[in-house]
Amino acid sequence: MKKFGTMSFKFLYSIKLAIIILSILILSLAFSTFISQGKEKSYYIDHYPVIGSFIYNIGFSNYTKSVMFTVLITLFFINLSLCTIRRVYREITKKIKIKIGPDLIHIGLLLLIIGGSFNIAWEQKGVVLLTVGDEISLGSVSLVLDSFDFYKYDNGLPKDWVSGITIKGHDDQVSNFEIEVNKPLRIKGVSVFQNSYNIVNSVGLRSVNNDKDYELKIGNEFEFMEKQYRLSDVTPGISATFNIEDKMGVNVKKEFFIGDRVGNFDLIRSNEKFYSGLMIKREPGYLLIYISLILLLVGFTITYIQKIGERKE
Amino acid sequence: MNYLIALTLVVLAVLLEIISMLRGKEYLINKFIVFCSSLFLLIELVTRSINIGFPALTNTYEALFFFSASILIILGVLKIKKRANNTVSFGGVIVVLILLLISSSPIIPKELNPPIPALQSNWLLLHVSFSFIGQSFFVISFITAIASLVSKTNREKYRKLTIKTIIIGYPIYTAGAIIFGSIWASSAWGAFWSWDNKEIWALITWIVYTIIIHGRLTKYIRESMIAWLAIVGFLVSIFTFFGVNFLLKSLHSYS
Repeated sequence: MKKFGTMSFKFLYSIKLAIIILSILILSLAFSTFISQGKEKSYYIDHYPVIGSFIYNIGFSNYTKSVMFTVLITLFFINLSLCTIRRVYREITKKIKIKIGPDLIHIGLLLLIIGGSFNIAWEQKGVVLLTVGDEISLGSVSLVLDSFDFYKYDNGLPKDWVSGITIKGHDDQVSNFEIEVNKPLRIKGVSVFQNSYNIVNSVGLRSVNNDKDYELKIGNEFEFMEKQYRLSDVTPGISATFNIEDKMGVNVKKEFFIGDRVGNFDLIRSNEKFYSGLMIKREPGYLLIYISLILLLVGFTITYIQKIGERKE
Repeated sequence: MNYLIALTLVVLAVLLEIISMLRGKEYLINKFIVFCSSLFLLIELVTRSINIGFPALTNTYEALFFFSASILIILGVLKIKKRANNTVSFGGVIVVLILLLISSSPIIPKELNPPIPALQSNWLLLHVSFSFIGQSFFVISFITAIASLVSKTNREKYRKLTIKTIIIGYPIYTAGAIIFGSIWASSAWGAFWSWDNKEIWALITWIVYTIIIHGRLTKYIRESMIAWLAIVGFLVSIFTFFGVNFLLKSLHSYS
């Protein structure tokens, strides 16, 4: 019994087990990439007639969140932890030669799994679309969008989009920042990323009956004298194009300039409004993951240098 | 123009390697041709970089050029150090020829476009360059692995070269594909890792080579199995590069 226990424990920290776990992991990960992820059960039954239920029940429908994947990663973590502890212990007690490089690599991997787990468990994120002047709360501070600039290359492709923001603390402290893609803001445990943008074209219409102003966005419509007026295009500051359809189904496209009468409204403005898409995220594991990546890099570098040194000897 | 010159030189390199193999001799001009063809590929990349105002490593076409140039440079160095014989050289230049022919395919966009915002990062340069340099060593290990399975006389020499090239390529690939790629993803998309299909297959590639290195260290895996795994690893890395782009959905639609 004691021998069996010892053998089992040895197997638990063995490289053999690591290889088995990693082999199952790569086969299952590879299989999952050929399956659409995150769909309803009926999708898999319809699209994979024989194995659809199996795919869903085993967790291949959302593999990286499945029990199978979690068990494999947990087993790998236990295996790597025991192996690393044993290795470091043997180095300290001088039973084996000290090799800092591989130790750092293994510790880096362990920290990477821990950091990743923190993020999975406690990460908070959301995407907001803000226009200039909008303000949102980020817990202990608030964010105001001061400016949003959208740059294009000569060929019309997007070059950059930059959000100018102000961060206001509760102690009235104010700081200004610029956020671009690849240049996020990290402040008080929160990260703000330039995630996307949106352009909303709209027109301002003033009713001739009651002088009330209305905003109409592209795709929206109104009815007047049994005709449907649907906004189809906007030239900011100049004009708006409407598709006008009568009850016979006859459709006419007409451009109206600012000041023109459109149905029972006056066209008072045509706008192009830019919205900045900001992703706001709280990542508890961020620092740990960064440290783990540095450890991996340093570990590999030291291993390389050690190998070259051994070769020269 | 640079592409055509490089392609012509690679074709010439293939022919010279065939002649070398038939005659059982290594010619100095073989090494010269290999380095020259890599030079023209690099010149083309530099020219494209100047035109777009950013390092030209932002699409499959440019990645193929860089990959090919890396393989040729590594091959040239191995030839100078007399580690690569005619068989390995021949295999290497054939792989490069295939990559360059793929780059001329109509399904590979060749337009000179400046990078979109997500690609405007110094981490991109490190991510792509280190990944492909690492993979270039995997190409050599792929060739020597096949040679070790087929050869009756130099089996041990090919096996040693297989494992040596994997040992050199593995940390470089890790740095490029996993470490620098994660750091770049964190800044560009707000997440170190998104379990995107390209990322999954890059991880699979990394795990295959991790298995090779650890299996060999502990002798759990036989030498002949290591050769087969080196072949599998290379094929997985090629699927990561091409297969994911054309067969699966991925955020990495640019390379």
